[in-house]
This record gives sequence, C-alpha cells and structure tokens, in this order.
Amino acid sequence: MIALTDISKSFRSGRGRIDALTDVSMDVPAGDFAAIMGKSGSGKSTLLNCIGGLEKPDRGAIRCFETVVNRLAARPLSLFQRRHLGFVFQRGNLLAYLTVAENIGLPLTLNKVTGAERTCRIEALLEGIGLSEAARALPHELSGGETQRVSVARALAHRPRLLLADEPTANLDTDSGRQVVALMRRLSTESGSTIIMATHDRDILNDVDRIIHLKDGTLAKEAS
Amino acid sequence: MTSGGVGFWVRIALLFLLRSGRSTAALSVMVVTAVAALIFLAALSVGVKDAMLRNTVGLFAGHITVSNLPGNISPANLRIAGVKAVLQRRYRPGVLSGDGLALPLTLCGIDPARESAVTALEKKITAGRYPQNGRAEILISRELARSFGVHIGDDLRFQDRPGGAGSSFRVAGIYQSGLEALDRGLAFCPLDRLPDKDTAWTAAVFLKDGVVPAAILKAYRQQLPATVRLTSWEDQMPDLRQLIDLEAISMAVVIVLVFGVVAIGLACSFVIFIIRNMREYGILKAMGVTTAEMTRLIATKVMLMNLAACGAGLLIGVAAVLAVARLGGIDISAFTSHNRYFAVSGVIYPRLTAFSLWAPPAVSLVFSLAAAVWPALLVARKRAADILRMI
Repeated sequence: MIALTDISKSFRSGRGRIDALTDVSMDVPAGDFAAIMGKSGSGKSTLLNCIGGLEKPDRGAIRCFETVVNRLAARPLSLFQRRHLGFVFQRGNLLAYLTVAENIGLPLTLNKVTGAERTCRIEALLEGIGLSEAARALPHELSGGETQRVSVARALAHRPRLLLADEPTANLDTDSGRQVVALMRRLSTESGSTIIMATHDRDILNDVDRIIHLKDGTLAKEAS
Repeated sequence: MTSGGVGFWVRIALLFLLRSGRSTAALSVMVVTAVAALIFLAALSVGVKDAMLRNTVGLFAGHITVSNLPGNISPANLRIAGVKAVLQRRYRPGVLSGDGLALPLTLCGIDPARESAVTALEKKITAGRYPQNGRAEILISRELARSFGVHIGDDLRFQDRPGGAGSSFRVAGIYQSGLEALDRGLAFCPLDRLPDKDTAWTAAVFLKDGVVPAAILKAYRQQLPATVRLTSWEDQMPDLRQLIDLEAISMAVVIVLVFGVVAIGLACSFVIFIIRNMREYGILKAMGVTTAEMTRLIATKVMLMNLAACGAGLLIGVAAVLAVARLGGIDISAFTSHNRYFAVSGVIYPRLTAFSLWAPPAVSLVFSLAAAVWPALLVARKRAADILRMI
C-alpha cells in the first residue's frame, strides 16, 4: 500500500511562492495501476517525485510499503529507491554512454544481481520489449518509442515494488504511447509491481485501475 | 558489469570516457598539452642552470678543486662514479717579467691536450694557440699581454723565487675569458716545463650533468688523506651560486605561475565537463546510487582521464625534451654574448629531472580532483529532482 497523508509542497521562484501540492492525501493499493491526471502545472510530477523520494514534501507523510519515505536519511533513501522503486521519465533518460543491455543491467548490478541470472533477466526483458536485436545499440540509435520501452525495462529489471512513471508517453504518438503503457502493465504484472503514472493523455487510460485527478496541487477526485 | 564494487564503477567511468569520445578527447588534449608543456618548461629551467654551470666551471675551474694532492695519488684515483674528467695541474707563485715590467702571478702547469679536450679555455684564445708539451711556451691573458706589451712569439721570464735564474717562456697564445679570476694573475704553461717540479699537485674535477658536488666530496673525504684540501665550485664561486639560486627562484615563480594558470584552466574544464553531464548523476541518483558511490564515480572518471592524458603528455614532453637536447639545444647566444656566465656557449640543453617528470602530472591530477569536489558536492547535496530540473 502506498499511503499519502496531507502532502504539501511549495517552491520559491522569481514569481514568488508556488504551492505545487496542498494537503494531498490518497492511497494506492499494492499491485494497482494508478494514473494521476491533470493539466500541465497541476503538480503531477511533484507528487510523483515526492512519492519516489526525489523531492521532499514540506509537510505530510508518504508511506511506501511500511516505510515513511520522506523521513529517510540520504543513504537509507538511496538504498530504498535502489531496491524498491523504478522510474520511467518523460524523456526516457537512458544513460547515453551505455548500450541498451547495459542500461537495463544497471539496476540489476546495483542490486547485486549478477552472472547468469542477470544475463537471463536482461535477455528476457529485451525479448519482452521486442528489442533483442538492439541489445548493443546506444540510446541515440533508438526511436522515441524504443527509448521508452528500454526505459520501462530498466525500471522494472530489478522487480521493484513500485514503478513511478512521469508522463512516459508525452513525446510519443498515440500507438507508441499505448504500447508503452501496455508494456508497463504487462511487465509490472509479471513482477508484481504497483504502478503510479502521471499523465495528461486520456487515450492511454484503458489499462489503468484507478485515476486520480489533480488540479492546482489539490486532489480533485478519484475514479476507479 | 558483473560486480557492484570498485570494478563496476571503474567500468562505468571507462565506458563513459570511451563513449563520450569528443568531450573526452577535447579535455584530454588540454591535459596532454599542459603536462607536456610543463615538463618541457621544467626541463628548460634545469637546462639554464646546467648551461650557466657548464659555462663557468667548464671554462677552466671544474666542479671540484682537490689541492695539495701527494705524488702517489694519480688522476685515475679520483675518477669515481659521477666524475666525467680529472685534470692534473700544478701551481707556482712567482714573478713574470718582460720589457722592464715585473708582475706577480701564479703560473699554472697543465696538460694542454687534456685541457683542450675537457675545458673551454681554448675557445677563449683570441690570438695564437695552446702551449704544447715539451716546449717552453706560455698562455697569457690579453690583460697581461697589454701590460707587458707582448705579442705571439715574444718572450717572458718567470721567476718562482727571488734571485733565482728563472725560466724563459715564449708567448704561444693570448686569451680573454671575461672572468676576473682567470684574466688577472694567472698564466699557463705545459706541466713538463713548470720550474721546480714539486710532487704536490692540484686536480680539477669535472662532474657529469646532474651530479651534485656534495656526493663526490663525501667520497673523496673518505678516500683521500686529511692533508688534501677540497673545494667545490659553490665555495669558489659564491657569485655563481647566488645567481643560480636567483635564477632557480625566478624560474620557480614562473613555473608556479604557469602551473597555476594551467591548473585553473584544467579545474574549470573539469567542472564544465562534470556539470555538462549532470543529468546522468540525476538519473543515477533516482536509481538509488548513493552519494559515496556518485563521488567515487566522479573521482574515478577524473582520475582515469587524467592518468591516460598525463601518460600521453609525459611521453610527448619527454620526447620534446630529448629531441631538442639531441638536435643541438636552444641557442640563446644573441642574448648572452656579453654575459660572463655564458662565456663559452649560449646553447641551452633542456634536461629531465625527477621533479620535471612527476610534478606536472601530479599538479594536473591534484587540481582535477580538487575541481571535481564542487560538482561532487553539488550532486551530493541536490535532490535528484532538482538535478533533473537543472538541465
């Protein structure tokens, strides 16, 4: 279970104080695929970053599988992220100097999954995303859709308990977007992961279990 | 990538450097050039010092003077490791007279062939030639020749004790060294023509480049009788010693300034190099890479690149020094023709020393690692979301 209680987060900028999140509370049951919907600037990415420990909320508590993420010190937080979380970013964010296979293998090595098991998992994931032949390709040799598929594979390689995806289809056409979401769904089902995805694209919501609407940093409504 | 330990981070750093070819190459060229230039500059500084020493002690005196040597010790006994040549000399104080004038001076008996081979005094002969063995010939300074009003072929008489018959010498050569110690009160004749042959002799010891007199003096003190007197060029020529020290300090200031400028350039380049790849650190941080691991990764990248670039810079610097030294050195005669410390030759041969080899790579490595501290701290202190937002 992912439980958020009264999460607030504000930023200071040249335009003054911006309240990105105000008293957001929500629960996502383990194994669910939840989508956070909202316009640009509604606080979706900030919420996702707070859940994943990339950002610290000003107030409130984020409980991920019995761990209060926002109260972890730097090193325990890193180790928690390494073991239990997977991220898919809007731009893929693959490491440019690592091949597709090396990118997918990175979280495995960080989690000390080595040898035959590591090789096996990478091959399976490559096959799962339909990019076996691109194992040795560098990220700049991939299309946008392929990059996001690799990004999903990398995020799920170490079988995290929670996958956080921030606008993973923003730069893709509708078909590619749907494929990526379907892939996330399939792979996370195989690994038993919970997914929370931020998006403003209604066309890709067929696969999700619940939709959480954010407006101006506050929870608007939740639909199942 | 089979391990989560040091090897894993070294491999990641290596892949980054190899596959970020252009950035790595651009920064490497800077490090390579800086290290090579600094090695050459440091070697040139040593070369200037060598040239001044070679010009001054190589003209006649030698690096060490061993006087009051008993006859049972030969020049061969003094040729130990580090010694290039030993010249046998005998000195007789007396009076040189001619054309109604008598001047006190010291007559130095030399082996003309050996002197000619080892010292550069022959190059300072302005008229005539070196005296020859078996002939009663004398080499005098231009100042003495003017005082006596003599020319090549004229005769002068030397008396080593009052009332003695003395010996007659024909002027075979006239020199002008520019050094007061040589141009006043000294004249040269063949050893076998020196009157009153005393068995005690003096050795002028010439050392190989880079050998310090102290080490040879220590060996001589253990080997020679206590009655023998040892003096190094540092004692004989305190003015040269001071000048070399002054030159060394000036060169050190120049080198430190150049090192400083190069080091700041390197540091700035490394900061840009690391900040340019900040997104990578944000991604890794989001994947749960700890601050310690991130710092290790940054340091490993800097060190690997530096080691490779310093290696190449070292090779190029050494090659440049050896090439210049073997191709005749750097001739600065136009700027030294009236400088008595470059009395023989204005050619500088850069020479490598341990300092010139280790200091430039060490400076590069230290400053690059220091430059990596700020980006590493930036990565450590910022949250992954902030880093990803920065780019």
